[in-house]
Amino acid sequence: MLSRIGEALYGMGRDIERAQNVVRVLEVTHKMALVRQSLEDPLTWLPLYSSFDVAIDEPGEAELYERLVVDPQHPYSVSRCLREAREKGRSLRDHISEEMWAYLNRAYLGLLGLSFDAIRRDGRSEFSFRIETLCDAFHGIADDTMMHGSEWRFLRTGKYMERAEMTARILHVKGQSLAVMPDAAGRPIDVHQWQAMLRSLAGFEPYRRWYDARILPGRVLEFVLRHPDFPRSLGYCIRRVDEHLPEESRGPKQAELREALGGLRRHLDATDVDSLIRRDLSAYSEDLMSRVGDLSSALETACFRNFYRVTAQSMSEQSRFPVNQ
Amino acid sequence: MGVSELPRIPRQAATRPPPFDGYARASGTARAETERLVHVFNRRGPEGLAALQREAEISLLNQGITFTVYADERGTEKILPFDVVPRVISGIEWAALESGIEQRLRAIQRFLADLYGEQRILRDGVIPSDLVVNSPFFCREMVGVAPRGDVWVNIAGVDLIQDETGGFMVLEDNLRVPSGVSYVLENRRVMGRILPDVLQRARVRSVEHYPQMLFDALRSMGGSEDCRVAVLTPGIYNSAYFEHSFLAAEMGVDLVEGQDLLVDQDVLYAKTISGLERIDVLYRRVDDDFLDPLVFRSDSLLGVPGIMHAVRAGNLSLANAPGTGVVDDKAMYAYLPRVIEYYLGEKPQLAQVPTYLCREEKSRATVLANLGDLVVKPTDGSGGYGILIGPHASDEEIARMRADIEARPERFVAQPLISLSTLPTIVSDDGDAHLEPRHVDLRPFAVTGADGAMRLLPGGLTRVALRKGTVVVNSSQGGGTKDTWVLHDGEDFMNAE
Repeated sequence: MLSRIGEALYGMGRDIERAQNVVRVLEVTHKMALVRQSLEDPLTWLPLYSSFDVAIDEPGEAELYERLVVDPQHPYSVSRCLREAREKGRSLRDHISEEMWAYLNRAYLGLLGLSFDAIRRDGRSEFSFRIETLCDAFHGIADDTMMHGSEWRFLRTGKYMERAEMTARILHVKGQSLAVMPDAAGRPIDVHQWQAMLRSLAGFEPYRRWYDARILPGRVLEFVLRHPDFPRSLGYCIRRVDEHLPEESRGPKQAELREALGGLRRHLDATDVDSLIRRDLSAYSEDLMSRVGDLSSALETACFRNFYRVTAQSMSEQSRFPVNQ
Repeated sequence: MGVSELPRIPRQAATRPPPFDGYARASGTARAETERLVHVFNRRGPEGLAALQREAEISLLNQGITFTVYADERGTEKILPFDVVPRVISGIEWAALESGIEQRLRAIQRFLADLYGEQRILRDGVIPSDLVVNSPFFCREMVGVAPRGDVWVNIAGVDLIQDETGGFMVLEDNLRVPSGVSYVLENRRVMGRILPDVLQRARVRSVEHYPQMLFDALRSMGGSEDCRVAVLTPGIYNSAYFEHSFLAAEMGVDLVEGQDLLVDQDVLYAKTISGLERIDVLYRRVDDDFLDPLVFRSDSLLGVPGIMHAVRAGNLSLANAPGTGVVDDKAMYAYLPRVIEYYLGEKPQLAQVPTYLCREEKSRATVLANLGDLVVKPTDGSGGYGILIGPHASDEEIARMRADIEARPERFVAQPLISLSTLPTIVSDDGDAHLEPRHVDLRPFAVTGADGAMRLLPGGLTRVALRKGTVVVNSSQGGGTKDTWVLHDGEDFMNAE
């Protein structure tokens, strides 16, 4: 398989996963702000700015929706992600199923002309539900209509790699909240934020079922970092990345990739969640984000840029052009 | 499809004999080979015809046989208009065409080998040297290179027209990157879906084996059984991208872009998830100019730096070889009959449109004396720019052209107006439909492998000018296509009924 094709499939998996996560975070933050009656409070929204690389201009919900949903260029924008996925789909039509293309194309066309005003008018929850199901449905269609060969595996790898990065990022949002309100620990708002984090990972219900209704920071961290069956825990995502990587792509750089995977897993295992909540969560989550980022670079290099670059003059005498006649 | 390659055809003069019609004699009665077919369509009546046409269009749309309309933010894709009334060519007629095209291409292969080799034909003064060396399509980098089997043109899409007597004439050779063959296959598939019984009774020769034929020819250029073939496309935004991806998929080879390839030590490689993999034969659907930024246009992002070195080192076959465009020139076209005689010692079997070279004194005098009756074309022009259609031109335009020819005669050729033949075509108005004659041309596809033996696909792209009275078959200007039925040799059409 051409590296470009592998990378496009991987990228498509990432685009769809990213759109879904961003929408969920926005919706959860909005709901939290409603409960706290702090819709206009910039503090509610600020942690999202740094975690999702949004430049602060007029801090508030409108600006975040503008950048993270409507903006055609912002790397985390839902519009951009879905447009990109559809563009990739178009060039991948010989590699994905007809059902996937048809679905993606319709979904994309249905989202043209998106605006914050329209989302506000029709309801944020409605919008969030629509995008979340769209993304879930896409992966479902892929699973049931594609051959489960290398193409499908790259799509999956991209999905779980993005999810791992997103989980680290969403943890960082909470880290940022604690950093801007250092005295909040243990107060209702703190509990509320931990709960919001779980919701942002679609993990509140699973958490409650696994433990109980009490939100204890140590448990929450254990759950999102290491739980082997929670589909958005970092440990789970990394295991899935490892499982889905196509065998044939493990070329010359495979040792580096293996080291990166093992290194991240060891780092998670070694994390002492109980001491973490007393220490600087923001610093930990920032470091975690960069570790996950390193893993994804190692993966992309190993799978899609595993050929050496031709730098030196690489033409022989034999092939020289004739002098003008 | 590659709209830019479609020829401009002179418009029809009012005073000429009526065009040849593929179905009806001048007397109005149907020709023998199409009589039953006319009956089939007439029996359906206006509503039936309209329904048939709709069915064909839906079938094409559902199959995704579309070309993308640029700058349309909704990404709308449109089908190339398709007309269900086929062109019918008898076995005998086809055999003559096949033999004529074979002869022409045999001479062209020898011609190209000579131009990039000894240049005997120039030294013998048969072709003026400046026509070759000053041609923008002459590729210096191919001098001294011999493609396997000295086969330069692996795929040709020769454009043919029929004059007022029904005789076929070559209009253009299309030796660079001819497109349209995917429509030949898809049109046939659509006909098989909507008129299966008619198609079967008519005993039409199959076109389904084209990808196999193409693959065999390409692989033969690599020289070994296990050589690796790929199709090079400019990318998804190219108007012929559908065809590139169609052919790659049908041949079971990779569809690559410039960014997927690199050259190291004069060998071409594809970047794959398991590392670099060598490519031996590249069916490139990218023009010469864009192939190698080291050699041709340095701003090209479509090509591969160093690819021409791989060709020169004998490590890579490009199909077609670079530099074949030198024969596609409008002035060179005029010399083709002499080229055939020079290399083969044979008279050309296929006619071509008589072409006056203004660079030759006698011809120039004829042209200048008859400007009002001729079509004058600049030799380096394309897309119809700078063409003078004498019978439709004003005195002023003719005077200006006269001055231009006198100033730089070598830049111009002139041809008589040919009235393009017609075929009945479904014309809809308000849900009803009936048949009317529309002008057509024909592009059959010839494939040649390293053994030098040409194989002509029995069929071809019949392009039709859908707008009444026009002869522009260009898809961007209301042109459409028809299926082309070549009948089995010696079969009476639809005899089995």
